[in-house]
Amino acid sequence: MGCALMTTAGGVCFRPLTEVAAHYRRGELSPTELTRLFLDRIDRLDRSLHAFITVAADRALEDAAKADRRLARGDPGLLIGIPIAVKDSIATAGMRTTGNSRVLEDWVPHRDAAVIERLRSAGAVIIGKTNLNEFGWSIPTPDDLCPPPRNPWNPEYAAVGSSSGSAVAVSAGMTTAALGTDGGGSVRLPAGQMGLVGFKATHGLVSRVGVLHAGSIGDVGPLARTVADAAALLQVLAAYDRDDPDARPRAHADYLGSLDGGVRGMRVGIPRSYLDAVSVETEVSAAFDLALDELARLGVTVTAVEIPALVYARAANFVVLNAEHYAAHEAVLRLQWARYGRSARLYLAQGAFLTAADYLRAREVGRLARLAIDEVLQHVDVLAMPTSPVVTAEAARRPDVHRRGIGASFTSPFNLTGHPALSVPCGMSAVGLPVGLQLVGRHYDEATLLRLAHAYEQATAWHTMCPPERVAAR
Amino acid sequence: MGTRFSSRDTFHDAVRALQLPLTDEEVNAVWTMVTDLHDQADSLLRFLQETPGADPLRGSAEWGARS
Repeated sequence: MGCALMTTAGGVCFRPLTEVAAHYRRGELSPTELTRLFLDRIDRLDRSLHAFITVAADRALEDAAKADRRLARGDPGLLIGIPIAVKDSIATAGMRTTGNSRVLEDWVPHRDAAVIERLRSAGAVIIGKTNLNEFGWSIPTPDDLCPPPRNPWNPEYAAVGSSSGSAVAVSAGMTTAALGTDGGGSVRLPAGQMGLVGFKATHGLVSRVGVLHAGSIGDVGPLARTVADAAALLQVLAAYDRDDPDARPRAHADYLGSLDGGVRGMRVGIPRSYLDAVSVETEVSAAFDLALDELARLGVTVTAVEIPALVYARAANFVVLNAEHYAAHEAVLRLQWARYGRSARLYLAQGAFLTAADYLRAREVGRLARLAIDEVLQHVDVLAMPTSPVVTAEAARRPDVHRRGIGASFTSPFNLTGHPALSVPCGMSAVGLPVGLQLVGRHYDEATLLRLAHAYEQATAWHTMCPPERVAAR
Repeated sequence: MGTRFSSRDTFHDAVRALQLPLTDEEVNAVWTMVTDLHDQADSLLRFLQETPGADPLRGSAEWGARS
């Protein structure tokens, strides 16, 4: 079968998962054809973008061929044959998993992480492992195991992390979707900066078993082209896992099926005092205000809310991350100090100087913040704020900003409190990097959150834009 | 604002006790990071002390306001 879609406007490498699945069903495209297209693009583009640490070409083509056969038999699964890239902190059996660290440079897990088992069972094709800040906790440097990814929207700028490679891979048309992990915004921040949807579900809804150092607040989440794609992935990923201590058995909603339920009359709260307290760049504020206008046009009531605990939740999340990262690495740091990158080993070492009391107080702040947010979410359906206060990774990585976690001011509180949150594209900056809108929902009410995000997305055109490289690479 | 260590020398001693082979330059870098980190951790204690219903001695808001 020839790939007729390859040269059509939009290019199949930039089409959403749901659309690709429809092409498969109509026989217009096969998983093997699409996988080959992506492998070719990776070969041409990734020498400069650095999205991938490992490209699993042979295994991906084997799995794509299996998917071809499943589709030929009429198997209806939505993810069959969909190429997905996976952050290299998520274990993949038979495929090395490095955390972008020389400490694990040659580690090949024997088992898949729980989320990989679910993706493979659903027929997805794991196309490769993506780049990240070393162990998700450093400022990337050129001497990392794999050098830092560049932002395909404007390669003059770095891609913000830590799931930067996953976002670059999707954004640059090197895969249909990807998985990242998010302990302070690491799925939502790169999604926002690269024009994608990044989604962190309620803590415990998606298993973290087999994820390097997920700690007590990290989550696995999809990076996708549309809200519907994120919903489709959540449909497969959300499952009770008795091996995940934070998982709770519960019935899962039809996330994809409930997207079109309407949003008129929905109430959105803006934590205005917190936004004012964070130094938000002018372009980000402007894009956010326009997004609120659009929500109002959709019939949504936008109102200011007060959540004083948010500023402390940000600091508390930073304390928890520091303490847990140090605890996870303490023994290996002593034995293999020189194998860690220069930035990662310092970021990891600082957690040694926190006390047990610091950690417990941070957890208590998290509990109080959750209560405060839950109280507000009795009066509004969803909270809204910018995904990031700044446009570029360079601004977020200024040492005085990065070591206080200020770039994650709007994302990290909801890791500590466990609320579901996503980033959806809402604007474009003067330097050509996208800007994200973050929406936050009630615990386990992913359906409402996705419905609002979908309505906003469909009312705007931001999600239809592609990096300028696409024209040259098509 | 400030680190909990009385001097940079005591911080050096604490680093040595961890048995981590930091260079002097790295110790100085971590000193700056830890100063910020302690600042943030201390802000959490102040928040808990000032929040009605949050008793940092007990660490649980369920016990209600201090009597």
